[in-house]
Amino acid sequence: MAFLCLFLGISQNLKAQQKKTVTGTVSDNAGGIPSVNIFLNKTAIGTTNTDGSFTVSVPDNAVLEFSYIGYKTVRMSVAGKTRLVVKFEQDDNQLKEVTVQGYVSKSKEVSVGSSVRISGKDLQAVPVASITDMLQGKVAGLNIQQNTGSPGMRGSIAMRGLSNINVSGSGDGAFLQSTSPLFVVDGVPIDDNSNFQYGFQGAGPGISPISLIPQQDVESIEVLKDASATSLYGSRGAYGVILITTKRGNSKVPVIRYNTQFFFSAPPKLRQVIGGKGERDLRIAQIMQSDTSYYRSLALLGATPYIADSLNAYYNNSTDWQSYFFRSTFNQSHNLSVDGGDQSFNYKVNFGYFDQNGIQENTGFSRSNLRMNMQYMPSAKFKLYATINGTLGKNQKGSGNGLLNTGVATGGQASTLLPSPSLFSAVNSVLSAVTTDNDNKTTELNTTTEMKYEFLKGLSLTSNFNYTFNTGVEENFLPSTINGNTASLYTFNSVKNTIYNRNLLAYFFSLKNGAGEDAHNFSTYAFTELDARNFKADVIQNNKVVNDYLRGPIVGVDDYLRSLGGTLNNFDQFRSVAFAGNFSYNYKLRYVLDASYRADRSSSNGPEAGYIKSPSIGIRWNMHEETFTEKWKGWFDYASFKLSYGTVLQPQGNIYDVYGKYVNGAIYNGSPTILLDLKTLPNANLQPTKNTTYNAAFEFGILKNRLFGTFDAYYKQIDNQLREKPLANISSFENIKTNEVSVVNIGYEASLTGRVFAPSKPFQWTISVNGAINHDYLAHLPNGVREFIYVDPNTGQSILYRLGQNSLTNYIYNTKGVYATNADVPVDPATGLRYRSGKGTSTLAYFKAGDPRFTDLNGDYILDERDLVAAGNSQSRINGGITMDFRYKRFSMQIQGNYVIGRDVLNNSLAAQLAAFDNPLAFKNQYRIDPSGVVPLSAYDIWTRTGQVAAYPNPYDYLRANLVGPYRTNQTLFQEDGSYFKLGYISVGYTLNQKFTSRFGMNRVVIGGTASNVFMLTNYSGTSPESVSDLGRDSGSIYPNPRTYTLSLNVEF
Amino acid sequence: MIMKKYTYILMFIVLTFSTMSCKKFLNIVPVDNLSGNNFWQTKTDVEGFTNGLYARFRAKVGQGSGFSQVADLRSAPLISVSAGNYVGLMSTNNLRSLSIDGQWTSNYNFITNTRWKEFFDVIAAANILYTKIDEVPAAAISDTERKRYKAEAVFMRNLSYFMMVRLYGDVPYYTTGFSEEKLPRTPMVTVLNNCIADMEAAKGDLPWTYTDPALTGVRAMRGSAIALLMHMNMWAAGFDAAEANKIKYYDAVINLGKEIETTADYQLLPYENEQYKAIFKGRTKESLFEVFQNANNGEKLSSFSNLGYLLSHYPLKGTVTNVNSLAYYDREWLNKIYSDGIPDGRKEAWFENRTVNNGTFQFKKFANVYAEGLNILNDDNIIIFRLSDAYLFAAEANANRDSDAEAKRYLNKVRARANATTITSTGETLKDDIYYERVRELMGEGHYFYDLVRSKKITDSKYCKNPIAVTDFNAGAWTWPIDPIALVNNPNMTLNNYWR
Repeated sequence: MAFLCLFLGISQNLKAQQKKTVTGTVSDNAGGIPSVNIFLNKTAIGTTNTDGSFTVSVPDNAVLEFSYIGYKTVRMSVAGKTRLVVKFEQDDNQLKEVTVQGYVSKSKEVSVGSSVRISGKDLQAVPVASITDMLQGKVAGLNIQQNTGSPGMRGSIAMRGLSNINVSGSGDGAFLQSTSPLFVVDGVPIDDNSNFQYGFQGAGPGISPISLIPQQDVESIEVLKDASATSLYGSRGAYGVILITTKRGNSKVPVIRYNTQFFFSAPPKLRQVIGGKGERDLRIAQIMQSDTSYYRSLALLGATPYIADSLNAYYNNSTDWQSYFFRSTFNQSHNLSVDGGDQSFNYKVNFGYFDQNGIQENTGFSRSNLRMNMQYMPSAKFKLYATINGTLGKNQKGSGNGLLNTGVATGGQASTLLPSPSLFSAVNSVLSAVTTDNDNKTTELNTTTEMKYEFLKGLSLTSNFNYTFNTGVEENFLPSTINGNTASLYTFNSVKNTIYNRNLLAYFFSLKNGAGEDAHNFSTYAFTELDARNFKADVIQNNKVVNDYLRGPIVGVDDYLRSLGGTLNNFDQFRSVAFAGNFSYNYKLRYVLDASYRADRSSSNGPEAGYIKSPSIGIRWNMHEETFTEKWKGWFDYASFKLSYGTVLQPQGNIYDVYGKYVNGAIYNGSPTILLDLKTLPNANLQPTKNTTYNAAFEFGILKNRLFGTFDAYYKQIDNQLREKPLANISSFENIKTNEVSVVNIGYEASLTGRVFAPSKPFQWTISVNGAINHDYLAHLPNGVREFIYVDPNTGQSILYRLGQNSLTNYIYNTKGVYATNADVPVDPATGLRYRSGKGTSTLAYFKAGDPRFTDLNGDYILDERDLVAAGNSQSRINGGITMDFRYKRFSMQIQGNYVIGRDVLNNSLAAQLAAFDNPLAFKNQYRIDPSGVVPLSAYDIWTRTGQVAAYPNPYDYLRANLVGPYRTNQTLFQEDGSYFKLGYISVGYTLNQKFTSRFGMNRVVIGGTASNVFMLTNYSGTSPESVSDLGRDSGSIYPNPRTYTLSLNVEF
Repeated sequence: MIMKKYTYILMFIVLTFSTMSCKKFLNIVPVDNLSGNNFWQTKTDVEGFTNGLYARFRAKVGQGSGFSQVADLRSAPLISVSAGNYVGLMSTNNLRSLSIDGQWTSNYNFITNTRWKEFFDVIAAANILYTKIDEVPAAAISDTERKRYKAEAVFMRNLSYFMMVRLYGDVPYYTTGFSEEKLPRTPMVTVLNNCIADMEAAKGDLPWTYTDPALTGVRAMRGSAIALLMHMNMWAAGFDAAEANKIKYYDAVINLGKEIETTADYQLLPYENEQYKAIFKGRTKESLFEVFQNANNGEKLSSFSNLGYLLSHYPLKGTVTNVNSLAYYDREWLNKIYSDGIPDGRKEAWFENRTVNNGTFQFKKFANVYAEGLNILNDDNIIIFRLSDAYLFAAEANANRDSDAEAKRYLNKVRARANATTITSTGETLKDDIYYERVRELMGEGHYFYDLVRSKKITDSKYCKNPIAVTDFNAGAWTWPIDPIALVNNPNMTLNNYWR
């Protein structure tokens, strides 16, 4: 207010002065900047043209002000000049950035929460389907692992360590229940944890709503980390919040930008296999060497056709199976945006197209979208903002499910002796992977209207209304040749709609001190939030389609077992209301106090559950606002200390977990009966999960912002985690959902950015490093027990939960090398017998030379589950990233790398490859099966002769393999260090000379090239320690991350 | 000022709009299943859930072994013709060998007798009904109805406890809804005394009978509660270590006998001219409690749940070539309970070739079970309690309290209906006569073994062809083993050691 009066007063004084015409250009290192606002005494008098030039008529001695978002404002006097050359410098004082916390934007200087802002410009280098992939390694404490390369699927995201210890599924499909952060796109929350959390978990296309936003349309991303920043987002913000802001128009002259990227995806290094004669010779040698006698071996060989019948064309091949599944692909992305307007009216239209073919056959993702927004502000009091976004996403999952493609994994391991794929070939998985017709579509329409009205000075009401409509369609057609001679058709149809409304009342005011400055600044706001969501999916499965060409009408259905249909049980309805308020006070920006409170009520636990409350409070001391720091002006820019505490509660379970599920039972006495479903005992005491965070942070900037950084230390406690607790059979119910699990995460985060050269120098080199150390501890377990073991029924790879330790501990056999000789095997003094496997008492079960030296923990000379040891932590301890930015005139180069230090990965893939030697006769349960291929063992230190001290046990001894299990996956032999440094991408760009391009009517042209996922530094012996499940298991069937090489072109008209 | 006014009005509208119908807005009615917060609203809900208790109970009764018939096989003088080893193993109480017989896990599925989970399904559901019915709005059901439903819940849980006590001895006991407690086993007599007190309190809320004839005998009536109380008292009398307590139990049964005589809703129906078949079809005035089945509705139990499966042949069961029953009752034993000279209507009506000691023997009590030419094997309701059972208990209790005249009055009521001679004996002879009358009258209805056990007659070769030694009996030879799954997630649980 005071400012405004001042300007108005001045402008009146200047009225009578003489005017002159001034011309000039505004540019940065790369060239002219269009649409720069030119102010004279805070009154806009013009903007620059597309090439950055301008012409204005101003009084003789006027001082002009040039301002543009992202650049430091330049003030320049025109006294005695008619031509001005304005050089813009990028503004990167972190504190003056605007942050959006709790739906209200404020200066970072007065925010107490921990947050990191990433500019959209830093997210453009690599064409990605999901924008979150580009965040990897850019935010300390946000652990993103691109554990799937499947197009359109996003990797795992975890904020500040582990938030959940529940494991779903088993074997290679075991995964941690998703706790990904809440996404808020342009002020509208999008829940990525439900229905879409992992494509493979449920039916349907499985396209994440975040994958529907093109990266070119992203203005900035802000990651909120601690509870004081997220508590205003309520229950769904318990695992952190990621705010995505899309672009808006801000140029008087309409700007047209076209961006295209052509990229080439190549499969990573594949498994080496032994082909043709080599495989046969190896198998023959194996049987001759390992079986009991020479003549028995000969007989076995003679009876095994795929080895013996080498002249048979069917067995006389050298097929490279992996070549049928993997391919290199050319892909493209195009994005066209038009935006323009000024403060009172502006608009943006963005059309995007993205098409990526997967490196596995029959997989891919494509996306088309049209995104529009418009802002109308007829007066300072009223503002209307509206968006319409329409998106069509299509993907093909092949025969897999997004993360895993087991069909490919098993098919790729087939014996090379078998003939290449055809209708008559034995190996069907190729056909199934290639000919399955899988077509998925997601259509989303997203509309938002936001109105703001300022009643009085400082008091405003903002109302936001959003409606999102999302349909998902999956069609999967299995031709008759691969499906037991009847074609099968599966159709999935889902509809999801969301209504969201928020009404926010805000009030700002300041009290002046004696000197007339705004000394005591108050800001308070309160809002109500309403959310309603419906999801329903229907499925038709027709297992008797007439032939491979006709897919309809539904005919030939004469058996209800062969044709099924109906609504799936993932039917979901959710409603919530919330009331929230925030109070913020600062004294001359020096001392800041911020408190907020939110009360949530939702339908998930029924209306009787009451409100759940999320309070938070934080304080901040801005040292640079103190007068005593003025004497350090030469080198000191800013320093702040922050302390915050916050609690976020999240309702758990569903209405059935609280009240029970009543189902129809059998008819009794001719009347219907209703029974209580005996799966889950209703728990009326179900508590919301409570996430408490304490955060301490220090921020600083020195040497004219050439070095700045933040340090965070946090304590995060997650209590009342939901877990299924099995019950005794006398209570009739199988289990009860209770909240008795607590996990504590203690961690430190740091990020540091340094500019090697002064900003005025033409050569710029910026280095940003960040890292996070996180330790998680189990603090409470159900029934108050001190430990329990989750046994994986498929692989035996158990997880030990033990109080005070890291939450997820691998519980496996300890392998200490290989017995070099029979004499090395311990002998039970009581019986005189050697140490043996618990799987049998036959003579074959006793360990001998070449067998792994499993530790006999309990000393009973029998290896069984009592000998398991707590061996490793599947979660990473330290992770982060490094970004380096080089700029020289019109050249730019960016290098980005990510690292993980301290993670134990179980190499199931290697175990399976070595174990593939255990069945040379290709028999299973007395039936012949397809033989599997073999890998060259020369790279591994394998035991082959008595007395050899080897690292890996004898793989050839197939007679005893089942009893001894030398290559069982649950042993420390296959637990490897999964630390890695990955060079995420190298990107170079060159801005063409503006003089040259303007001849073609183009204002700014940037050409660039990027190579991503180029190399990895790791000790891990498998394909990649990143392509593992979030439980750290490398199953070998995970969709690998491709290498991509990109050529990009940006044109601005 | 005007602006301010508008502000307040707007704020008010916003706030009221968002809070007004908050509860309604947040209450979701799922379309796929009923959730608990939308249940317990109408009489239909209560009726459906109550009916579900009976359906659950039938699920246990209908499990492979047809556990009610197990009482007629165990320690019984049955001899196999072509049934298999299990008849001999059951009649010699050799469960250890039985557990490796094929029938342990197929057909008869004797293993299901070791599993109590299904009983606890009934108990847990009954406890939930008892707790939750108070939440049903008063407009939906009357006070009388509410009490009746509660009493039905009490009956079903006590019936389940009683059935379990007879199978396993000590069992975990609880009556709270939604229990997740890891309970140990409670001593059998304590369980019975709890059940007796529980049932006594609720008994009066049950109607003597129902106006809807379809419910007669099928849903709990006061007579059902009385019969159950008699059974529980008599069982407790057999096992309560304190001799003085026995009087209490007998007197309770005597009073229950008097009570059941006060109504005309229950009657002994005639046996002549195959009229007895109606009793076993079900829903009669003689029925006190039965488990419903009807092939026409598709509500059918396993064919093994009826003793007729073992003891009938063509034309009652199977085709023309099926000339032999699978097993028969030992002639010597039949001669003992039916003296040839003494007239008895049951002897002629129920037996064919009674004393031939071979497969042509046929027990026709459940003759209307089988429809000729149709593959319907079992269509009768399973009678759990009927009036003659209650009368004979009253007789037994009176005899034990030395009121022989009263005992004989009850006994002869049952005998008169069967056109048998009147009994005039006294003292110990009378007690034996009452026992043998129970054997004759209730043969094949799931009482034989339990009568032997509770009276300890099973240790006496005079009554039992294959007696159990007293030490074995005391060690628990009369119980069934308990499936070790009971130990899972329950550190307080113990199993029956005799069979381990």
